Amino acid sequence: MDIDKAMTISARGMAAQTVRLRVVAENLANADTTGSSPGADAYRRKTVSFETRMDSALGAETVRVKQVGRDASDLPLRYDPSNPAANAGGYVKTPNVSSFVEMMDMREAERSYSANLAVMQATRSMLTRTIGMLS
Amino acid sequence: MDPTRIVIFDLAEQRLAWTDRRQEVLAQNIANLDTPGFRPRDLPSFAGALRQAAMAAPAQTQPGHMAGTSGALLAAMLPEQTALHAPDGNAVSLDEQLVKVTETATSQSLVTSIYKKYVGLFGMALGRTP
Repeated sequence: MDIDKAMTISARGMAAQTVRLRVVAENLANADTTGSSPGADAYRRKTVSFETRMDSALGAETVRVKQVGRDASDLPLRYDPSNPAANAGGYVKTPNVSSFVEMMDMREAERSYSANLAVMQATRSMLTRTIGMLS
Repeated sequence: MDPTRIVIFDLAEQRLAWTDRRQEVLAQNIANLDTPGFRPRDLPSFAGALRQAAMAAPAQTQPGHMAGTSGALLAAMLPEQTALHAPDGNAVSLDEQLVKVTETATSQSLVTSIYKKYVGLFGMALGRTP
């Protein structure tokens, strides 16, 4: 039944956005995680990408998380000779997490999540009305 | 009298199938709001699809002929023509899609109301108190 499919598609969309929110939380929580040995890499920001996938059991195309990758951009250096991760010159590699980028990503995930929820609510009320035809 | 031969019920059934299918397509579009390269899709309008289905229905000139399928109403999923898309190639516009969701829900509500009204009228004609 198409109504059930629509509900499942929205639910998958919400699940994918939840993974994205989780990754944002991981990034923000690790915004100050540096390495523990001299010259070691700090935390690298995680990224999420989505893809459309045909679900043959459901008979519809759903969305899912394609992969959680790592941001390969340069880790900014900070002069802090007392840090255990400081290299010979006294510089420490810091995570390439930008709180502004993460907040923006969080807002976008939130917005997409609510959109999926709105579709689910509309679908649910349609289903209720169809059942109401029996009364 | 076969109740499925009453035009209004037949039409209501087709319209409900169309709204169900459209809701599925719109749910797909919204679920793929952040999928790179995704193009939104939509069903042809109900009136247009109905006309097309009526026009393209195969004629039965011999008793042995098959009736043909009337699946044309729900078959074609057209990629939408959208002028704008994000740098990652995603062309889903959330406002547009949500307007369509509301539109579909409203038309489904209309159909179910009309259906119930007609069933009520038949009940009245049969002498039942509504």
